[in-house]
Amino acid sequence: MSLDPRAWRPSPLLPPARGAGLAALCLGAALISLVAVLAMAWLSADMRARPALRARLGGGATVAVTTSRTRAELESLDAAAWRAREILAMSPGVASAHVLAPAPGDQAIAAALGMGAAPARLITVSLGPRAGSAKSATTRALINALSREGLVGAADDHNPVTGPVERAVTLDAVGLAVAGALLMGILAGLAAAMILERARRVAPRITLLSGLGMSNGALLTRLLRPVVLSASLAAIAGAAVAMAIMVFADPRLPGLAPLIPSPSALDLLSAAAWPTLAVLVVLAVATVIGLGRMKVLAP
Amino acid sequence: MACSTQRVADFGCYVQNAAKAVSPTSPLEGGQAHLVRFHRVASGARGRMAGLAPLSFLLGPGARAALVGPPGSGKSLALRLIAVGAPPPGGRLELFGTDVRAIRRSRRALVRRRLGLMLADFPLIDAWSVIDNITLAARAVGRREAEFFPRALELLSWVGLSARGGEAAGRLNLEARWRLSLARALMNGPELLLADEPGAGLAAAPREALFKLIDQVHGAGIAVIMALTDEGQAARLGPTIRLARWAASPVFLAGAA
Repeated sequence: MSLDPRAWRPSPLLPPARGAGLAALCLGAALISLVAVLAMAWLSADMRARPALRARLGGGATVAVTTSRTRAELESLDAAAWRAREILAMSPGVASAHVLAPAPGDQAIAAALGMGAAPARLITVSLGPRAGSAKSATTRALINALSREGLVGAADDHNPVTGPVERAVTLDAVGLAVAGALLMGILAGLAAAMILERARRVAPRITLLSGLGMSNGALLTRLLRPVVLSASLAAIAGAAVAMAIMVFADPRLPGLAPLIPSPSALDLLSAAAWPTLAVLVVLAVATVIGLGRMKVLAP
Repeated sequence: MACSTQRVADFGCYVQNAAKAVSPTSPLEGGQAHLVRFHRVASGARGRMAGLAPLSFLLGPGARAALVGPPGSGKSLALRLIAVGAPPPGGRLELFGTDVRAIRRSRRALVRRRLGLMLADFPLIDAWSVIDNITLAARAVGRREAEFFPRALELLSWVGLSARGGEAAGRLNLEARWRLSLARALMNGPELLLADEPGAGLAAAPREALFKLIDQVHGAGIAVIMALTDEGQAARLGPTIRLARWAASPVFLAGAA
């Protein structure tokens, strides 16, 4: 068969990746989207939920206050509440105190705090260091301060709740981080298997091209290209899926479970960072394995 | 036939006594005084590859030599050691005036670009066309199509395969495959052609025609090392370096005038 120079198109130096690439691409995209969602959930648990819980639950106390029996005829409940507010606000370790407007549930809360059936008003106290005190006030110190002024109070600084909740959130964060790392490991393993399979398939060609003077860098690039390209496509697809999950998991949308608290544009952008990290991991693993194979195939 | 002083002179090479040839004080410096220098290069058997008893020889620019010995004497291994350019298991190998131990792995490709290979380890790609096979060598080193394609057509014509450029290499007969292999080896303008049993399996006439082409290559100033089993054929080509199976080999020097 004679040659038509104008129609000649050079054959690819290394054979292209086989059809299994599509399955690997889908698997990679699924893994990367999971990594992105897990990473966002981990960050939300560790960097948002935990500090927020600590600040909201640990930084304040609820005080139920009533007058003592001896002063009951001299001072109304409202007057006692406002006096208690002044006392609490001036106590060391208290940043501010506010009397809550009476609400139907107040009596139940006061009873839960240990006030029994006595009528009570609720005061919220923001605990925190202030001039004259290096530490936040304790509930015992608040009740003692009220007691000295003839007021009866009961307080709750949420300690029985914050400990277990913080431990649960920490456990969640660790679990999510481990799951994300495992998924990343599976992704790296998949990339390694793909590189090894490709190197095995094109081994004779690599030896031939190396013998003909092709540089190891050029050979390595051609060996890794399909795998890194697949990983990049999977990363784009994975990032898109992760962003979609975050958008549809927005708690502001009715009827959908708030998987991630308050996703923002920044969250969506950061969802792209994890797939990028996944591609870098794939590239690193593929390079290490590729270099190892090159030492054997192109001495 | 062993390399005699008279015969070596006929082929523009020279022989010195063996002791001087392997002496560390031998005046080998001065850029590229030689293309290949084996200094007691040896290797154990590897897989199906025969071992190589300590071998010393020197090949100068434009020279031609034949490695002659029975099957299993390490002829192919000696050529492969040159082609790979990696430090041999034993002895010292110099290529283009440089000890290969001083050549970093990443730089070996540059050395290989100065070689033309007709070795079984670097076969033709049967599924590819003749022109694809020829141009592979140029594409491997990153040359541009506009630069290499005219030369590929010239080589195709020179080896007599112009009419078969679009044909798959796997459909060629043995003679055409040897010619194609020679064309590919010359694609990048090598300084040294390595040929392992060129023409093996061919009848006398096509084999002779192939050797005439190799003669032309040598005539153009390209050094040639061939591994041959046929001593008669080797003797007609130039200085011979005899290899014996698992025995210490004699030492020869072969170089340009």
